[in-house]
Amino acid sequence: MSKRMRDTDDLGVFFEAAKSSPPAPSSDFMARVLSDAEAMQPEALGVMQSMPPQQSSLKEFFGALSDAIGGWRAFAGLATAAVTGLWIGISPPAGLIEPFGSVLGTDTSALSDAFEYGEGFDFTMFEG
Amino acid sequence: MALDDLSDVSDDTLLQLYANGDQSAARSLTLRLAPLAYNKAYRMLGVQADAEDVAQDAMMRVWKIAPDWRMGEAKVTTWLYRVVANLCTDRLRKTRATSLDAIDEPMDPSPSAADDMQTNARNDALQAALMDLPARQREAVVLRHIEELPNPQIAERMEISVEAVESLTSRGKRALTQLLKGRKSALGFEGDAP
Repeated sequence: MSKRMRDTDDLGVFFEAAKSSPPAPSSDFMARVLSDAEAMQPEALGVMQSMPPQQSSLKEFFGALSDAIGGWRAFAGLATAAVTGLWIGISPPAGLIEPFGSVLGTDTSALSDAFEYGEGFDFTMFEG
Repeated sequence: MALDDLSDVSDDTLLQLYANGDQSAARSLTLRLAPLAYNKAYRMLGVQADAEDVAQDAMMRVWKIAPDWRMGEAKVTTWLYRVVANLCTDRLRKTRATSLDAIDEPMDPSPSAADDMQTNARNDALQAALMDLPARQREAVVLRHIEELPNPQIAERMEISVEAVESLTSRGKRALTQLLKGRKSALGFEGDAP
């Protein structure tokens, strides 16, 4: 056996020794690493993980509603109508109040008179 | 979830689970990656305390990157290896004059067993000799002859060409042979001879 081969064999023995007894980390080190892992773990994402079913069902609900009434344009129309109704309720235009005021006066009992059905009217008239 | 349930889960999936708050993923990643990081750091630094510091620092980077880890782009172990190697290089620059005295005494878990003692003595002698090599030679020799990685994979990890890996390992082995020559008889080589 040549000297060169013998040297290689000798080194192989050292490498085998290194492979068979790898440096083992201490349990203290492992505990420190695990402690870091737990301290650094993003908890917020963990909370979100329990939420998706609710978020998802809400999204599905509004998605289905939007499809049913005609998409975002229908939502825009609904919103406009709602805001307009609210505005008329809070601050009615003078042209809407005055005609009713002149008919009704200050007596609230006139309200029922104004909308009173004609004499002899009865819902039973619509029955077959 | 029991640890065994995650034994077949890939490293990057575990990272994703960890980022989603799965505590068993934190334990599995620690058990899987921390010894690797420590092992590499110890081979590069030769001092247990330094290796633990570097490995802990590297693992901190794993925890930090977990939420942003992009699945399938890189192997977690390859990325971790680079982090450990860079941290070791930084540390070696700061303590360039590491003497053999600073290398830990052999840890012998079963001192009564002669074979174990001999194996540990050889292991420690090799580690001491490795510490006398330039850092890049040491890294290449450890990856090739202790971790038994193929040259292309070493080239990828060290971000050098395959030819450069071959050159580093060849020079490293020659230097190790010279360094260990005088210690053969002390390490029981006569007993191994046929």
